[in-house]
Amino acid sequence: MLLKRTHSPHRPWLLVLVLALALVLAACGEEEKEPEATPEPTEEETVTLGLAVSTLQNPFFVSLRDGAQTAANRLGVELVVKDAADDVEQQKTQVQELIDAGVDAILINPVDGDAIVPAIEAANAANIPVLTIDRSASGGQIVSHIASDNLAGGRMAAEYLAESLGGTGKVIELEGVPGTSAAQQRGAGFNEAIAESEGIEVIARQTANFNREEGKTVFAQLLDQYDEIDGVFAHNDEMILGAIEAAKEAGRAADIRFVGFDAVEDAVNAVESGDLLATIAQQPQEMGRLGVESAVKHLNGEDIPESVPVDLALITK
Amino acid sequence: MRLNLSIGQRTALGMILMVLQVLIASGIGLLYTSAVESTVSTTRNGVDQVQTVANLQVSWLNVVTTLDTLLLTRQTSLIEEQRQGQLADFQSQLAALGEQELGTDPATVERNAAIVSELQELGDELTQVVQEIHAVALDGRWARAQTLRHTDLASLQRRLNDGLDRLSANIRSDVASSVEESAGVQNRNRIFWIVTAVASVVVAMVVGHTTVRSISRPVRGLMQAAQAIRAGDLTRRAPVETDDEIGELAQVFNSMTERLRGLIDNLEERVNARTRDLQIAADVSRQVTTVLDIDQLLQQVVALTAKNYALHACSVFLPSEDGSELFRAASADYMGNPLDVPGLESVPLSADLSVIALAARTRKPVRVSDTGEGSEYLTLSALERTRSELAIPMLLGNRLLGIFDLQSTSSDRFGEEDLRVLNSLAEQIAVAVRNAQLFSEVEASREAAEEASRIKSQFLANMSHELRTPLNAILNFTGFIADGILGPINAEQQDILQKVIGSSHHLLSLINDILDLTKIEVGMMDLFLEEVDMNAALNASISTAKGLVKEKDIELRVDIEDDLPHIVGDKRRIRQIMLNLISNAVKFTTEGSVSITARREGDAIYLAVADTGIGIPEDQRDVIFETFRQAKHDLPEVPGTGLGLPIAKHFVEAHGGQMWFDSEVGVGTTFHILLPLSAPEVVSESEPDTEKVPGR
Repeated sequence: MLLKRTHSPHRPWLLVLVLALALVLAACGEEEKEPEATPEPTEEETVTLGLAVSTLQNPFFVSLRDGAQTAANRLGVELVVKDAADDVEQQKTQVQELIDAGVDAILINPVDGDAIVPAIEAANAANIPVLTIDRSASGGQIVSHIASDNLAGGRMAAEYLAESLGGTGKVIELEGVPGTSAAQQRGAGFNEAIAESEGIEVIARQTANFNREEGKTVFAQLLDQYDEIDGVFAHNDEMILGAIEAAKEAGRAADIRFVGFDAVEDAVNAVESGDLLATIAQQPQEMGRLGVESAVKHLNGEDIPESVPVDLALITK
Repeated sequence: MRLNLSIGQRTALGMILMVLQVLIASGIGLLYTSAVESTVSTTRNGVDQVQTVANLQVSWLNVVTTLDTLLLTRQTSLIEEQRQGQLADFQSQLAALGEQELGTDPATVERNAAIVSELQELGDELTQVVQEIHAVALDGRWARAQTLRHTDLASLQRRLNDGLDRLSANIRSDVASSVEESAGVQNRNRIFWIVTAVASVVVAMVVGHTTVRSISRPVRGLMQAAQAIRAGDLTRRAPVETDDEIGELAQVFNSMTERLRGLIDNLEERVNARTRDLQIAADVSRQVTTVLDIDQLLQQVVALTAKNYALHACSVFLPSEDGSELFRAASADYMGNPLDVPGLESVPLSADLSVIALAARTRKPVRVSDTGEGSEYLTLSALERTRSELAIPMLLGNRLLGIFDLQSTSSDRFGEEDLRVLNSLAEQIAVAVRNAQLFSEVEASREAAEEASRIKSQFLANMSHELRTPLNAILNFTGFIADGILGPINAEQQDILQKVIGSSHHLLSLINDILDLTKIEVGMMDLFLEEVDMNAALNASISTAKGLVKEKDIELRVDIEDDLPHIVGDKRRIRQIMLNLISNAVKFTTEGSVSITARREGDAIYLAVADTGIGIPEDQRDVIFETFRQAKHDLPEVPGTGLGLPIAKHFVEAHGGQMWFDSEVGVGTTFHILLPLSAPEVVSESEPDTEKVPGR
């Protein structure tokens, strides 16, 4: 009888020990979590990106392409560039080509934001992520849109122009390719801001399709049409430079204040020479870079913002 | 798992365990602390590194801000400042960044190093652009400067910031992961530590408890057993659970208790036996002391003793008159029946091999424990089957009254205790025997005395009668002569005759008295009862008294009630009583008075005779009622037979009355009497009524 009783004080002791050990082991078994760090490209295969640019005739897009290429080189990804020469159909074909080539992601700078939608959808169907640069598309699934804040840019231009005109005057707007978000936004921003200056009247709005020659031609016509032109805002530098040429040939350049958009080399020179009042500097290289980087990030599984605005700056003398 | 350790070892073990636990807990606590420390240092490093990055960012920001200011204000003076200060600072910061190892784990450090080299390239590019802007600005080509600022520089700046952000992020996440890991380790260690601490406490408690219990429980068991034993339960044993000191103690305790129980049982047995023996002895004593017949007494003694003590035989031997032998006075067998032992009627005192004789000679108890041992053993007083014997002398003072002999068929029957008990019994018996003997002696002497008294009385009665007869003749004849019946006598003759007659009367009264007294003593004195007129009786006594008093010049005072009731009594005797008292009063008074008082008191008559005489001393009070005795006194020889008072007292008591006196030496004596009115009962004459007399 006595033997049995002396066992009992030992048992709970052992139990407690066992419990303690169990707890300890459980505590040991905590996993360490690996923290996320840099977006590094996976070293399995070389990533190939496609860049469908609208036209390389425009130095803006050249810069854009350059920026993209530099970024691609840096990141160790391949960049396939397609120049659509402002041809909508061409661009659609080119996009398809990129899809067929099996690129990992496509960066599109649409000639026409609406027309390009089917091509985008095709890419979507092929599970190829699509990003838009500088100009947006109106449909399809877009991973990210990298562009300048064209609205703000338009406003900037309008405000500067109005200010330099002293708040009164007649101005003409030279529009870009109508289907582009750039043209649409710049125009919207410009007109919104210009409306605030009650003394300023927009006497004409005409598209010159972002083209210098066209800009020259169109403005020459407008010069004939209107005797009084105080200021001109063009959606890009090419057009304004054309307009300046026309104004110069008409001998009326000195009376008109010209404001462009893009701050391309020639425009900057024109600002310095006084021909051009101001231009809005974009960051085409930056856009190109951001496009590539965003694409790579996305391919690495990172979250990227749906829209990446790029800063603009007013360039004056 | 039972460890048979001693208490010391166990407590030591317990201590060691606890110390170990403390050490383990502390060790883990230290681990925990060190984990915390490493976390702290990692964090601090991380903070430092992030600070470095931030510094670089700030440095660059300064450059950009100044550039913007330059472009805005067109103050070319800023260019030089920038070149000297901020740019240099920026570059040095960049360089400094390159020197640090950023991150904690090698992968991160490598990654960050790559970023840093990238940043350094960028930094160089940035510097170039800044310098280009400076150059252009100096040329006054502000638009270009602006463009460069907002395009190339902006782009590079973005990339720089990206890189720096990435770096910061890396560092932070690295730190965070490090911290998390650390925290994980900390947590784990903390939990471990808490668990260990709790476990330690629990284990310590358990160990402590176990150790204490291992000691206290057996101790308690021992205590409980002790308490039970103290309360009287001697069958209780302490539990022996362990091999250690307590266990040993318990064992010793148990064996002690066993021993104790044995002793107590033994003792109880002995006490019971003794009590029984004493009880028997008391019973025997009680029974026999009431018996006064010596033979009966002895027979009862031996019978009761033999029966109650289950003895083979018990005998009492009494010494002969000359003490030379002891004869067997009584014997009984184990049933208590009288036992006859022919051939053993007496034992000579000088007998050699007799236990009885030896006891009588030595006056000490003699015990034979085993008849088988020792050839000196006597067969003389013993019976055949006796194996042990005890002979106790019955002593009273230094008188040997007899021998009390007990025999048993078992050897060693009589132990020390038996001896003591039986000895005291023997003493009691001795006393009883002596009492019986004394009683018979007393009886014998009493009878003898009575016989003597009876003879004496008889003689006296005869003699009185013999004496009285001739005396009467003398009186008669002298009376004749005195009366002149036988012829004339002359005065001288008359005188002589009167003297003869007087002396004869005196002699007669003396003889009468003696006769009375004798009758009284023999018990033949009867009262002649009739109705007595007290006044008349008293008057007669008084007239006599007057005569007595006249001769001594003592006043006689009389105070007698008139119309005293008549009582039932012997007239003659009443007169005699009064006369005796008065005569005594007069005899013992030289001057003063003698007073006689009589009155009724309730249903009795109170009489008193008082004198102013010499009084009766204390030591003589009893003497005066003794026959033929007079109390010692200083007066010249007082005539008298010494019979007056005893006779008077006797007659008073025969009347059913009381007589007493009080007296003071030199002052006087008063005798009081109370006589009841009703018929006296016959009072037994052999016992004096001492209770009836007050003041005695």
